[in-house]
Amino acid sequence: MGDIIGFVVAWIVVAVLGEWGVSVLKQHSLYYYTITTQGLDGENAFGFIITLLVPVFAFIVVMLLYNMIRFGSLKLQAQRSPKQFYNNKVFVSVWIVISILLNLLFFVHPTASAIEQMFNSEEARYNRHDLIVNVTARQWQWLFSYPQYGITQAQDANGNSVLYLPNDRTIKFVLRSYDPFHTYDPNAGVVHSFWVPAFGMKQDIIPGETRYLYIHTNKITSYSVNPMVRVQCAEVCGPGHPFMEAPVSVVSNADFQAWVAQQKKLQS
Amino acid sequence: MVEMIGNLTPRELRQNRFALLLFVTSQLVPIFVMINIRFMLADTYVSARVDPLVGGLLPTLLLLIAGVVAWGAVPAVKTGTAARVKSRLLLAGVIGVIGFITQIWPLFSHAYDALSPFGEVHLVSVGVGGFYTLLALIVLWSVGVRLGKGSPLRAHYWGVEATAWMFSLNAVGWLALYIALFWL
Amino acid sequence: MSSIVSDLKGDGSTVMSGRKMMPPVVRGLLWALIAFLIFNTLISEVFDRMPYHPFVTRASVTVGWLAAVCAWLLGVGVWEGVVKPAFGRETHWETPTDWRKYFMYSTDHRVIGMQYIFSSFGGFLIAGFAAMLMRLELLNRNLWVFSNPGAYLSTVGIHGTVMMFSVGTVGLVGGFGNYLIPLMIGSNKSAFPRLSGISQWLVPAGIATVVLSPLLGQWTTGWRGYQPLAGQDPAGIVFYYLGVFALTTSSLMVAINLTATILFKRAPGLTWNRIPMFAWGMLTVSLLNLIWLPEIQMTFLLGLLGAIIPLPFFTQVGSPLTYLEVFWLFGHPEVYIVVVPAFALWQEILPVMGQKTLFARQWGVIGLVFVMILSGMVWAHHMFTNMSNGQMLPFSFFTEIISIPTGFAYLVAIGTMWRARLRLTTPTLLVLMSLFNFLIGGVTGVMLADPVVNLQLHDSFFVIAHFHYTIIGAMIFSWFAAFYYWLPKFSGRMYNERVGKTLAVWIFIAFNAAFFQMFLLGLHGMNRWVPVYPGYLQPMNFEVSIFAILLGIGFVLHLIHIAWMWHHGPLLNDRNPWRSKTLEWQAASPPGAVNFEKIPHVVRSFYDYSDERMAVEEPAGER
Ligand code: HEM
Ligand SMILES: [Cu+2]
Ligand SMILES: [Cu+2]
Repeated sequence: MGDIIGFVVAWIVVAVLGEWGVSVLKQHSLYYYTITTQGLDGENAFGFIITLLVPVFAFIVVMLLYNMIRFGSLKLQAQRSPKQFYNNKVFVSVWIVISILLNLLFFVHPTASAIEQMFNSEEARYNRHDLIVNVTARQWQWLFSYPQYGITQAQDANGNSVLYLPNDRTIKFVLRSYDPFHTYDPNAGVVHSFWVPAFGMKQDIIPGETRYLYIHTNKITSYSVNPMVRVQCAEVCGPGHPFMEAPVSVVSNADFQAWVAQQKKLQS
Repeated sequence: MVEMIGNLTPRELRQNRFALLLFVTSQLVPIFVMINIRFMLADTYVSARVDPLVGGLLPTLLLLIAGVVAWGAVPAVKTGTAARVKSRLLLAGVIGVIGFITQIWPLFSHAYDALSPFGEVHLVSVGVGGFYTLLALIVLWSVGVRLGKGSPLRAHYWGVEATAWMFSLNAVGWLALYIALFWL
Repeated sequence: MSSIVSDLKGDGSTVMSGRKMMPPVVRGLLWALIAFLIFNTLISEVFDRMPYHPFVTRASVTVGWLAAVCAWLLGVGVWEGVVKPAFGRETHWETPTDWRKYFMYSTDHRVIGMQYIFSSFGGFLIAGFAAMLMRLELLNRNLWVFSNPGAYLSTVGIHGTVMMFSVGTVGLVGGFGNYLIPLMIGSNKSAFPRLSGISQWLVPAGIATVVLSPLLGQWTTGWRGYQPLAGQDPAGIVFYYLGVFALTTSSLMVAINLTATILFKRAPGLTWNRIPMFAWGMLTVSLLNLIWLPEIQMTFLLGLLGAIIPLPFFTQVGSPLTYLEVFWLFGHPEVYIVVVPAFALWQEILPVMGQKTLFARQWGVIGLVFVMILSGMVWAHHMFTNMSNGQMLPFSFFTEIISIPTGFAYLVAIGTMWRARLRLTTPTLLVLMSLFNFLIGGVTGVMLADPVVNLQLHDSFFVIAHFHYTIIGAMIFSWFAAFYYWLPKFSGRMYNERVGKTLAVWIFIAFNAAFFQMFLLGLHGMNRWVPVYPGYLQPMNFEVSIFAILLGIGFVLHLIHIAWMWHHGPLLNDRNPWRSKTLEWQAASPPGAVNFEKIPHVVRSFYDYSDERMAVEEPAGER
């Protein structure tokens, strides 16, 4: 009985300390930097899972340490343990029931609920006044065009692709993988993955398919503010893979309009 | 002392049988994959140049028949009639070789063309089927050669049975591919 | 076999009888070279001449390689050992009893086990060296070790492929499995000695093939060989397919042999209820191998045909997603192929070290079996970034609940240690570390199983950290535990506890310091497959690299310690230094010419320490 009490006390102490650490981390943002509502949904799910797993983690770790310190012996001489048991129905049943309940809980929340939240509850907002950005992944470059504004290829002064987005807008990315400069074989694309770390999500781009990714921006920021605000290919696509990057800027609506005008001037 | 079957105890025989079936079963997985990939891919288009009777039905029937013939040799080992064992195996071998040739013939009539990728499921199925048929034929060949060396017939019981298993399971595997290719 | 120690010194060697023969390995290499030249030339110069007729084409190298591997197998002894007898011809092949027997085809399960252990350890060192190069490159944000990203990516591919197919899949199964399973179930041989004699020699061939792939050209796909990128790469990918083919074929043969051995070669009295835990592990792993390895072989065959014919199966005919599906259909069970033997080892070592009855044994077995079944239903969790939301839920569900049977391994371990008198030896320590590391791997796995979280973490260094925690953290640590635990069995000598423990702590700290920071790197936006990355990630990468290199050094030091003690460690004065009840310790240490002079008769459980009685009626074969 003494051992059980000792263990439980140690476990509770470690678990509480762990929860405190996690709550501090949460204040600092677990994802480091998130600039979309979808990203926040993901981050919340992540936080929820961690919060629930801390006691589980603490249970095993404290158990391992407790066993090692309390029951361990440095003597090599084999000596039969005085206590011997094959089973403990209560312990095993509790273990199994808790692990099943925990998994069911995780499945309901956050798995199912966060998918619902991230995609379906947002869906009401989709496809109304969305800003459409066509994203074309070629080996090895991102190309962004804004069909609603007639911008065929958004570039900075040096001719590098850039992604500009207005703040507090729903953006619909239309993702395709092919090489517009080599029209002889439209199938010559490979799998890429459109990832802006600060968005909190990514989407693979499969040659021959058109895919959509919706996000809702919620922070004015840019690559120079935080380098996580960049497009980065996340699926290996050949030797140029590390260089498939593009800076992202999220700006106010007025700045966005100014940028659009400037891009149009650049094009003509 | 337990009664020996050839040079094996009954337990060893069961062990060999089990392992062979395990092997063959696990080799059915790729065939299963071939059949199922169909759903994700274009389909099992077979080149018009392949005659569905000569290139499809004929090898299927030949392989099935060869399997049945090979099983005929198994009881003959037990009863000790060497001539019958040999003639059965020879017959199975001859039918098997003809089956093999008709089976893989479409490989040679296929146009390898990167731009019109039709009939590839068929092509690969033929290759896979042919590979296992070849394997079965090699097993049969080695058993046949060993039989000719004059050691007591019963020592080869397992070899003959293994040949029969190989032949019949290969035929069943190919039958599945054939149905998938020409009928589904 | 008197002892491996004296073997290695060459005592009591017998000369190979008959006419003088080249050492089999040398003969194998020679035959392989000749076969390669003949067949390669036939294809590239005669049957399939290409424009500008290059001497080596994709087709010619494939055929040449097949011929070379067959010739290599024949050369190391399969010709005399298998082929000639199969056709009823007489052979003169005598096995020497000294070290040379390890360098030729053999039918002795212990020799084969040792050969597998050497081969997989060789693979570990080679692929580990590749990892060191990768980490050195990542120490700096610019290209400085490699001259171009393709070279880095080829190294990543070689690292992953060799580690997965020649270490993860092989080390504990082909190596420890082949050596120990017959001993543990009270048999003097395995079910198909010749089969497993052949299979071992495919491992060095496969490793060499993958490692030599850059000769044919860079390949940038990594170990997964994703299409259509694989179809685009230069010819190096051909050797990836071929090398993996050799390695998976080897594992397939091991699986058949071990399954049949466990089912048919058990000593009298060794009923299903008494099958040792490690044997249960081998049985589950073998079934996984038998189901999934042929599947991936077929997939890679299609990829290979795409590279040599060409047969654009996954691009023009189907979709790149087809490839992803069939790859991960195998890919996820593969990770359980790697880790299940580790679970089994925990349950093997802890009751012995604690001299306490294995807790809730049936749940341990149920756990292994359910992990095996569920592992086939979760593959698409590698593809959350590819699929529609509706498809995610079932895969997420199965992925989450696979943690339940996995947890049983902990249930058993913890229950066994509770109130035991746990001897903190090096194997115990490594098992405890393995439990800790796998816990982190498992907890982060639950996070990755959640689709919305996965969308952020997928293909980032978070995933790299996660799977290295499960593979290095659990499997490699348990592998080393197994080395220390059975070293007395293999060699009849004891290692040095103090050195063993110090080194265990060393790799534990280096491993956690290196790989835990990779979680943070991933969260901070570091993606995979990049030798060049943004500057803000540099400081942490620098630290990771330093600890990774310390980890590499730690592994090598372990190796040196084990190898040294194998020859020079203090001799045992007891064949059963741990006082284990399992059968392998009832044989001599190291085992004599045969494992058991008299086949033991099992009368009770191997894991019941409630009294002093042994599990066998009378121990066979005195030391
Ligand atoms: C010795 C210490 C090890 C270190 C320092 C190490 C390091 C790494 C690193 C840095 C990568 C990521 C490369 C990238 O995406 O840029 C990697 C990938 C990988 N590692 Fe390791 N690793 C080690 C051991 C192992 C072991 C023991 C295994 C398995 C048995 C393994 C299996 C893999 C696999 C499968 C990949 C993925 C390769 C790919 O993306 O295709 N590694 N390793
Ligand atoms: Cu990429
Ligand atoms: Cu997986």
